[in-house]
Amino acid sequence: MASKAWGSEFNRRDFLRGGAALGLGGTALWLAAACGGSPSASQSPSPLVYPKAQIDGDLEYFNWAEYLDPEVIKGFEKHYGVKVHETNFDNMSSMMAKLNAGIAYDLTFPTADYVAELVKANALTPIDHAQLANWSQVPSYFNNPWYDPHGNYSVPYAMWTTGICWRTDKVPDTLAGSWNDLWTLAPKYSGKMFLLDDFQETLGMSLLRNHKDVNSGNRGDLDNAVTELLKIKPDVRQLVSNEIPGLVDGTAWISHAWSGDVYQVISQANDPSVYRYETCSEGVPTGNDTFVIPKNAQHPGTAMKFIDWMLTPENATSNVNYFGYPQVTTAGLAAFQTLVADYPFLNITLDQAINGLRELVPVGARLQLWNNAWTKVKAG
Amino acid sequence: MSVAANRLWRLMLAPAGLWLVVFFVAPFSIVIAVSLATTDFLGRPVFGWNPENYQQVFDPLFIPVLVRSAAFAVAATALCLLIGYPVAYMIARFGGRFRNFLIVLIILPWFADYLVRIYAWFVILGDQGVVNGLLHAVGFPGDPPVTFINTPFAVIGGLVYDFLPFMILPIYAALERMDPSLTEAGKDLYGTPLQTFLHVTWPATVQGVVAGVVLVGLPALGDFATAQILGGPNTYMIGNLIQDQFGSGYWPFGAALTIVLMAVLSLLMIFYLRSAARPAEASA
Repeated sequence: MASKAWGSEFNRRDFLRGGAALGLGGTALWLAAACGGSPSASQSPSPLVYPKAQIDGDLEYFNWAEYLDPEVIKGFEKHYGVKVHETNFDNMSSMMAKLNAGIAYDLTFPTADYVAELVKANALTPIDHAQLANWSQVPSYFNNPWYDPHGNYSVPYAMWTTGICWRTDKVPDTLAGSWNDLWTLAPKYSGKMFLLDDFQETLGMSLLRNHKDVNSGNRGDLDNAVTELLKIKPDVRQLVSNEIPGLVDGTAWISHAWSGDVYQVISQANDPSVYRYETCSEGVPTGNDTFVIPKNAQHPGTAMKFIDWMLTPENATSNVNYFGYPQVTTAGLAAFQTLVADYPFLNITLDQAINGLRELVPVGARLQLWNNAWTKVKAG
Repeated sequence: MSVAANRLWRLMLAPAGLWLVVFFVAPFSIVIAVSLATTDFLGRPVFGWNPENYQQVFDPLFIPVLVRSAAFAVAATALCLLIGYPVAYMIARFGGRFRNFLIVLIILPWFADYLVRIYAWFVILGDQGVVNGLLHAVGFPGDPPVTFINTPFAVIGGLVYDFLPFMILPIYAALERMDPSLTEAGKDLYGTPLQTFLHVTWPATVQGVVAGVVLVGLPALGDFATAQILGGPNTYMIGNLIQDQFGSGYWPFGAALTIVLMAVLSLLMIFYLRSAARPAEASA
């Protein structure tokens, strides 16, 4: 009889029991490994071990989409005979999720507030300024920026403000230079408005409109910010991480926007004269982002070479002309001033970026509060 | 049965057992562990016993998301049935020697990647897409003439497109198994076409319909890519809620949502398997 083959000493129950035991055992091992590998925030100060700035393989490059001149990347590939493998993130939270998952990137671009957390977590490879031939291009402030003591782990990249972009041909209204403009225009231009898919920016913007701290950790403040966002959400066409294509092709006429992206819209549009950008009187989120080399980078030498490549005056100039943000180097800032001469509303100074209104990474209890609030905005 | 043969049987089970352990039991155990964890300051799971992640799942806040997901899944399943049954019927009854060829044609688009096929709709139905371009050219007003993308209709349409073959194939199989002389007998007994269909064809193929409803309904309920690409801020489904927790939100909550969703879907599946087993028992 066929069923006899399974035998009395080995049956389905044994099989399942064995499988479950194996599974649980495996999980326990995994948990032990995961806990053992968790970061100890304060490590004893040991001398920094710098990677050498020399080509050590292809570059795993992890950035926002359309945030660096592709021609400059091609130039790097050609000059050094390596490949740059590009991956994009949608926002800082998803970048962090990928880094936390242990994916090995050689170069990524966190905002200053995230650099501060990554430094605390000992998650970055130190960068030796002496090995960057073009370090002298970087303003001296970044020898010791607020987010990275002694600039040990980061090189500044670009600066921005966050505000509102609109098309004067489709939206002839007079805007008031206030975040409230989004609320007053929403019903009239229903389905023609974008908000950013970024919890720091969008919850922060709603908090500012209510005259609250842009980094509030107060539940009541956040509940109000959520309630207000839900009022305009039915009129919002999309939450976007890249507002450029929609503003160019006419899907959106009004968008919560980053300053440099507006320049890209202007440079891609058929009629650049119709686009305007305003910052808002309740508060102008400003900041800068950076080049960093994650701790588990496999090719930190190539990453160093790439950073140096970006700091050269020609490449910084070319890059600024492409992406419309002031790259924080002598040449980059000069190129930006030329570029915004025709669009003064896009200007931003180094002082603004350093001393402006900072959106800080929500961590700990505030992270949970903010995640919760953002989930309510998305689900509501 | 000799001891050696017994040992051989055990050895032959090892690959399948290992497969199940590595790709199901272990990952599933990890999801359970994460669902009970908290996170450190960078959002990484810190394991422990925190059942409150499950309480959050039952927050009334998520009722609209659940209702919306269920409504989209039901609408998509109903449309798949309305479209899929006639298609399966035509192929099974009138396909003749082209039957297999027609079935291959139905499956053919599914050789292209799922995401590529969804993005294709974006190109076809976008504000600047093919359809709006044509409408604009023939003089329809509006900018764009019709807003297709980012609406609930786009999501339901996308879901129908995603899962339609899963409705057609089991119904086709049931229809093909059915003896055509049954319908002839129905007509011989003076049944109208409708009566014949309701009393003969439908009961004979209802198992195929139930299989199709399960195969379409369950994945539609958990889908996230369609709503993410074709939907807007007001088409958020349970799959999007879970995906956002793992992409950028709070992993333990995402894991708790996953476990609860799996439990509900498993219950529906058990219900289906039982109902499918019953007629077989009855006929035995």
